[in-house]
Amino acid sequence: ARRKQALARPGRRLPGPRCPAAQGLAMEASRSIASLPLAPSVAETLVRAGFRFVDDLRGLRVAELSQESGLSHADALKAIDALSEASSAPAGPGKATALQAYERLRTSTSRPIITFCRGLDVVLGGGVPLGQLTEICGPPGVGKTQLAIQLVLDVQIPQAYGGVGGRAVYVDTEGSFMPERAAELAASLSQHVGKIAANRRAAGASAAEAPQAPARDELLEGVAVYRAKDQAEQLAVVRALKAHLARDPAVRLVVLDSVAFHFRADLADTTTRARVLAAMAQTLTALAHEHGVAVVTINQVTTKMDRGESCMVPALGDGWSHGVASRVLLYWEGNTRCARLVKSATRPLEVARFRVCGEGIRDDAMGSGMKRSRPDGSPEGPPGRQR
Amino acid sequence: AAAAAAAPPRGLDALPTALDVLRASPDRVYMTGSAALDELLNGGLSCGAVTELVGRPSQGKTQVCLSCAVTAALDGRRVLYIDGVAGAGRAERIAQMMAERGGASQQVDILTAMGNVDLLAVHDVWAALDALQSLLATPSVPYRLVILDSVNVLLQPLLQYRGGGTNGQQLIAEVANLLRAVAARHQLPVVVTNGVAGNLVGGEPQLGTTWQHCADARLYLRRVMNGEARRSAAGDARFVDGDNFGLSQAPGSPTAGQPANTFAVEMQVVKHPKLPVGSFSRVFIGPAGLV
Repeated sequence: ARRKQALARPGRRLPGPRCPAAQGLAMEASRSIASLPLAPSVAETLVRAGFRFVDDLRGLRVAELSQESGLSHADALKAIDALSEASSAPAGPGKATALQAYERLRTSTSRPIITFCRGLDVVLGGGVPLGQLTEICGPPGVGKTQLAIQLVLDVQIPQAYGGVGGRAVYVDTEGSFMPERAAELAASLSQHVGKIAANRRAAGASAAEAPQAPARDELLEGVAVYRAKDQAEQLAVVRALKAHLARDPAVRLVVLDSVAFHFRADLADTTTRARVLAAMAQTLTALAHEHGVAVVTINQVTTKMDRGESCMVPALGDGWSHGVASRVLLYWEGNTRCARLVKSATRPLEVARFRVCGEGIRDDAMGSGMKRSRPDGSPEGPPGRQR
Repeated sequence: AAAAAAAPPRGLDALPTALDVLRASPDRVYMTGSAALDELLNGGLSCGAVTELVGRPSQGKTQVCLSCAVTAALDGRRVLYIDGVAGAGRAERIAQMMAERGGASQQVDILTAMGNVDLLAVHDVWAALDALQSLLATPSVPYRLVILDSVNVLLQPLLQYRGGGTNGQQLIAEVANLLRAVAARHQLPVVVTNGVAGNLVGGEPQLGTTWQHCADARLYLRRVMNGEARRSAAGDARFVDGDNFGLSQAPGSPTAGQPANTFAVEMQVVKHPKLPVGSFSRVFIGPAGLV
């Protein structure tokens, strides 16, 4: 009734050009208020005040809407803004034909980030791809953090040497980032690139083709380390990444090690956890796409019993798993570390072997994986079948 | 009297009978191009209806969707593919599938075919709703197939379960209504993928009871390993991605004889207006999509 009064009020603006009457169309399907990105309380207030469809909001000024519906001025402004955003967006602003999207992928000069293990690079299609979310999961001690540290250094390899030439962000939730180990890897990477540079210069390459290899300290300075000590901090850092990437457009890799740590103990409210994790996956994927950075999330695995046999499942459940487009599993096979691509948008699912040594992640020649030993010195065998 | 006879029927007389509807618009089916899938669906996807593919992570739902899109595009039909998970990255897989199919048979104009797929990358449900709404508002759309992948990834971040969860339900209902309206209005088949959440043994399709009324037909997908829908005894701990029962492809598995990198998926009819519930069929997904 209040709404009818408003419509009858003189001086009301005429309906906009999208009004069905103006277009001469048959009855346009009415779009309900629920489809606008509004806070639930605002949407509820609008519905109670009699505004059910988006068309009911058209032509109203903020003060009118606020008076009509009982919303505060700020909320009424948000509602009108949401409406104008929705109307101004043409049919799919992000829409491209597959051909356009494919050509954009092909012609973009973004290389993948190499891992220094040739087998793994082949499996990944050249390396860890930019613009995507990739998950690396595996049991403890298999080398997830080692691979992460290798990647934040490898992303800095200059473009002249086949690298990406970008910076990195390392979000550490477990406290597992070891600066001494990173320094070790950085020194060996700097040496490796230095040798290539020297060879090229000896062969007569120009300064552009053989730039100075980055020094160890330079490589370490190229990694920003955030330490997230609990769930709230982790969520806050993920939200703040957008601002960080805007401030530092040279960043090409974000590593989140590990995404599971702060969420595994929270068994009380699993549905909220599923929602929060799904939102995080969505934020990270959107971040990767919009800024063209590689986002790598490290995940743990949990063991499930099935008919008397144990098997590994990625931690954090299906709410997280569904939102991840690409997943690599690291595991032990006897004494060898293996990396298997278990989910991918484009690549066939294959396996590569790798090893962790003083210089970092490297290829593994057949069967010569490093033997691990427990703290008490006894050699650790393959993970046995648990009953 | 003649004038009265010639006057069109009004009021209750204007309501068509079931026979009139049957004669006027015979049920159209949309052939997906995969013989096994079309046979399971007794012809193909129903036009004007929503078909839902549910399954655990990594069972092949996206691959089936991409394969249907590629078949349509190669036939010259336009497809709208709304992707909420990997976005523009799907273009590479689409190109791969087209190249694999074109290589086998006669020369296919891949460039034209790729122009037939409209790939819309969305990062939240609002963008998807905008796209669906604009589809509904347009009197005629050029598409013959609309795919939304995946609805649970888009909705999950917004669902709040507190004593009935009113607000989340409204949004789920909105998406469901829009999908059905788009299908009915333009007489298109709409395909939507949904996830399954639960423990290793079983699980429920996500989004709950409000959502389950959306789809006219629901197919449950599950990967098959080593000839068995059950996992065979393993020597050491195996990796299971959702319901995947281990991913090491041993030689001599049922996909031997198929091209490399092919896996089998069992599709079971869980809900359908015309087919018996429980019927299932095994399809193979390889580099070229549905084989």
